Amino acid sequence: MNDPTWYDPVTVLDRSVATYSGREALRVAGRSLTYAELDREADAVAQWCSDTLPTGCRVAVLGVRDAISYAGILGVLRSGRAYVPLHPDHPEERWRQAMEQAEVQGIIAPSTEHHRLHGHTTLPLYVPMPHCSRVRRSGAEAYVMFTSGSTGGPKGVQVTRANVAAYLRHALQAWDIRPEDRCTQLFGLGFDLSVHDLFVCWGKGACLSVPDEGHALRLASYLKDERITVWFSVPSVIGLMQRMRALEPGSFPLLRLSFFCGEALPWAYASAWAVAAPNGSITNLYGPTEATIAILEHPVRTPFGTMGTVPLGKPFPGALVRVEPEEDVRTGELWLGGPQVALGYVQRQEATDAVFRTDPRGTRWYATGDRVRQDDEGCFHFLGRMDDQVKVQGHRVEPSEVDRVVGTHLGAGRSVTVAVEGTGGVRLVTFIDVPGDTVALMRALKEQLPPYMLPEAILILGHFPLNSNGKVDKRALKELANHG
Amino acid sequence: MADPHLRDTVLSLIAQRAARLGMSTSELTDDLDLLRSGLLDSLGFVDLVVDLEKRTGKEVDLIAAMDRPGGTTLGGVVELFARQA
Repeated sequence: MNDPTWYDPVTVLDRSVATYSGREALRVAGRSLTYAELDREADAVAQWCSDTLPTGCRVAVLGVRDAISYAGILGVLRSGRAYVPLHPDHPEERWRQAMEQAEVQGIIAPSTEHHRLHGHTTLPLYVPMPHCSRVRRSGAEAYVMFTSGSTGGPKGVQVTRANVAAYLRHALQAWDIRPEDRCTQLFGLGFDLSVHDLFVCWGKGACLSVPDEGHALRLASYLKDERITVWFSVPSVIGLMQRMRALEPGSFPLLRLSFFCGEALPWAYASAWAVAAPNGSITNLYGPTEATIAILEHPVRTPFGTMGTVPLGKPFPGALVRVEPEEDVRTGELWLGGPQVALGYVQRQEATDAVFRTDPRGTRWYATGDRVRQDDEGCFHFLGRMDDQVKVQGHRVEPSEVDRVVGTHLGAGRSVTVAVEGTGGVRLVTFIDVPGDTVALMRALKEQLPPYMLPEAILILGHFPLNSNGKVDKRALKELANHG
Repeated sequence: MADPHLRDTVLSLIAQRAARLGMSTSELTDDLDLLRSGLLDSLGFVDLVVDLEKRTGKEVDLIAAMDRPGGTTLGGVVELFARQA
């Protein structure tokens, strides 16, 4: 198991196909596929890639909730090629840009979606192959996933199969997922946390259950109907389910393991989840796409915190972590190194060089732009983004520090403070998602914060706007602060 | 069959958002899916229902309602409250 190829995603799946061939591997769009059936569909895709496309190229996979998307990802990887997921809710123009930037050579999409692609591409579209051999080619690259970039538009992160293997090496060893488990698949296939969904589940011979379209409002029923035992989502989902009154005590007795990642996990959410899923454990994960899925983990144990957010945790074994220090050596930008650090951004050398750095000893690092603090036990705590930091009248202000204080007055509610550039300089506006007496809140803040850190306004929102990844959309909040 | 007063309340709650999206009132029919049309996101939909609960003094089973076909249509929301005694 020290063989680096042991945890290669293709090898991991092949092993499960051999061991668990008759077990259910995937439930999607009303279909149920065993490992043997998933294997055959993936082979058909691998054969098509080999017959139709250049060796080692990139292949787009339209990430719809259909078996072909999953077989597509597996087949592309088996053929020694890399996949580029396209988000079904994004406009076709954005797909085109991604495909162009990643120099995609073919597309896998169900025939029902081909009409959306005609007119935007002349690339070959997948058609099922009647006969196929068992194509197995090693390939360096696993996938290219696009993240939003502050300048120059989306950046495609190039992640290798060795990067994914390094993640799976820890995930499959550390987390107790079993063949009888039923795992969620809530992340869009264009979000790298979906790679965890697929390969951690399949690496253990468990069943991956994909909810139907419009699932966000049906999560409680989905959990019960599908007898879900392993959960993975963004923390915001807890807030939605709370509002739906779906988190009654003991609602989800079958849940054994719950993972959260993608944004800060408020302690209030962790507590609410623990009440609804009393027989399970909660793990908070942290990691940017550039360092492959997740790289820090924090097992949430009692006693739970009452305010603020759950720590990011400690690094996986083998991961390199360092803090680029600011005033004190324990606080600063988090840099990540080791086998999970991606190659860079496709066709974006300048953007790559800006954040992927090589130190004098030859170690490659990814500078996350996340400010962290390391405590006495080596555990990392999230302080905020480097790039959200602002100066107000010469004073350095972290908007998240305002939120930390506001949070102590909100109970289960959350606050998001944004900095807005105005004619009078930078001003802070705080949004909260619970009704309350904002005048009293402001009075309380005055007692805890220096004057330059006080928000100009506290605005109540019914809920925070979310972007397509389910994170709080700060850009939309800034719009509101300016024009709302 | 659907309570016209209740329907008007729902309409008034989604009117501003609909106008911002450039939807005319004639498009706001009973079979309009509030989510698929992009009018509301999931959180917005839940908030609409919670708002209606406050206004009508009725509490609905949102989880069960979401399992019914058409539960997220304009008519579905009106019916959800109409069938609640």
